[in-house]
Amino acid sequence: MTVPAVEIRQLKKRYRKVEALRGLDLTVDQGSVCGFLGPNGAGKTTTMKILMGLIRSSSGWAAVLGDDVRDASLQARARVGYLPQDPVFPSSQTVRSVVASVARLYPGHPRGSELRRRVDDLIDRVGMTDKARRRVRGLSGGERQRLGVAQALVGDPDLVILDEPSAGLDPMGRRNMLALIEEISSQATVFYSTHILDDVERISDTVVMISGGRAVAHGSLDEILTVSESDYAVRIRGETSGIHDRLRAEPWVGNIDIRRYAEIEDWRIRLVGDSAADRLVPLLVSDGACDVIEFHLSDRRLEDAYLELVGADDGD
Amino acid sequence: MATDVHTVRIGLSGSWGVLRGELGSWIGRRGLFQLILWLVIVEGFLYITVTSENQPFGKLGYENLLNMLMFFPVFGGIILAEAAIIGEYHSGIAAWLVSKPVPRAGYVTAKLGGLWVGLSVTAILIPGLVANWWLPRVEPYRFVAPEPPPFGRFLAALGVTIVVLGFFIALTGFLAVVVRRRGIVALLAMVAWLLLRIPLPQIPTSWHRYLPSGLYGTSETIGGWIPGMEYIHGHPFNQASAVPVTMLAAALLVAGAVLIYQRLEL
Repeated sequence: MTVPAVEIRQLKKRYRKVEALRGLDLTVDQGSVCGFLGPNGAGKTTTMKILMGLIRSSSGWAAVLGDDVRDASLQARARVGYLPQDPVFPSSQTVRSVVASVARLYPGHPRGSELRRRVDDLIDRVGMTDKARRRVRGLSGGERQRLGVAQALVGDPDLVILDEPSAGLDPMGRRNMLALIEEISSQATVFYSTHILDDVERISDTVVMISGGRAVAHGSLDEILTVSESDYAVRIRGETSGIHDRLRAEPWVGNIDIRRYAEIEDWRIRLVGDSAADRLVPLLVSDGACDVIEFHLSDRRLEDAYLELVGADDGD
Repeated sequence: MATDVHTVRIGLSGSWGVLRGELGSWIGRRGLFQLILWLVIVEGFLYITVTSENQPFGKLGYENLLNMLMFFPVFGGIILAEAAIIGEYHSGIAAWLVSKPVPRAGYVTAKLGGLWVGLSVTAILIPGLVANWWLPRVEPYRFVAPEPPPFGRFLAALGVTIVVLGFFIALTGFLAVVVRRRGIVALLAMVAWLLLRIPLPQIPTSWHRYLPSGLYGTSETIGGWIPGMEYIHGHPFNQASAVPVTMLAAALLVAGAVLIYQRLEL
């Protein structure tokens, strides 16, 4: 049985009066692309810094690829590539020298022409071949981000932790970054934080949502999106007040969200209980005053799940 | 046990990678700039003092050289050590480096060690050797002492200077991880340099034999010629015991810095 790429149990972190993590639990399986979602100040960067051994947790336990980050942080870091939020590199070094110098930090790193080839390959993968000789101080934000990915990959990691990899990128840069993450995922587990829900839907297979220092949702993207199979979408035309009142009176109807477009209404109905769906359809068609045009399980988007679970307020 | 050996191997590899990067940064543009800077400072001031006709320093070329090497490179080392530790702590470069398989002990030691080696070569060894070449050829000095000091003794005196530089880099590194505020750390280290150099009634002269000040104090502080000067003219090296004491103190300061750095949140 393979150990999880990341395993966190009851992780807590307190900064003086601020409780950044309040008992976080999460697991990231090897081979997955896990999006770590949450508002600003939710504890995403704190979690990643604890995993990288940059800060210590107040209590709880965290392991990377089976190595406890407190006791064997060095071993863990040898198998992990990390892109910090707002990456900073020595400004006088060139792109190539940054990647090469990071490569030399890993035990058993290639040497000579093999090292040069590896560094050039990585620079090519992140699309910076024409900027390989440019100094860091002359790079744009997006180019620094791509350099950050290159240096994170140079140790041939089993796990790549990316803290907001597409933050501050223009649409083209963001698209390239997502393509790069998809490519990385073929050879390593990817655990990345982001605010951009579309990105998560596009490239992740697993999602962890965090709010107030706790995980509020955790699972595969499909699980998160169908977390409530009792959400139904109904398109309805005609006099709807009667059926609305009848539905409201039923104990197995939780909530009805209504949007009106001229003569048509779109209802999203949340049902309570296992057999509620079986009762809904007969009730809807029994009302002669209105016609049901469409009826299906609600298409839930990640944004809906996010707003529902995390709340509309954005932390800090 | 296998795990321990593996961890040690990872740690050594990461530490050597940082040290190699630090040493490598002294080869090339940075090293050339530093070398030219120190040559201009050391040789320039030395030339002005030894060719001056209106003051007695002109007769003391080698003493002036050793005094300058105990002052300019040491203060340069204090400023650069402060920048290396505090600058990288605040900029995020330290966090970036120790997120790699680099032990924090290796990071701190490599930063300070790399600076010590780089500055020793560019600010002490090369300017010292250059001065040793031209000092005997300058008119006023040749008049006072026709023969230059034995080369081996001169090299040993430069070695003592390098030990002093190492001590103050270590002291600055320690203060930097404790205080973590630029300016204040350099100021504290420079004040320490000054306090050890001037004669204080609280510190008996005999104590300096076992203190770093025994290696760079004035004749009033240590009750005789500054050790390097005394030594290069063939006298016994009375403050020799200050060398291992200073080296040990530097090592303890680096160890203290490492211990504190292990707990820092980056």
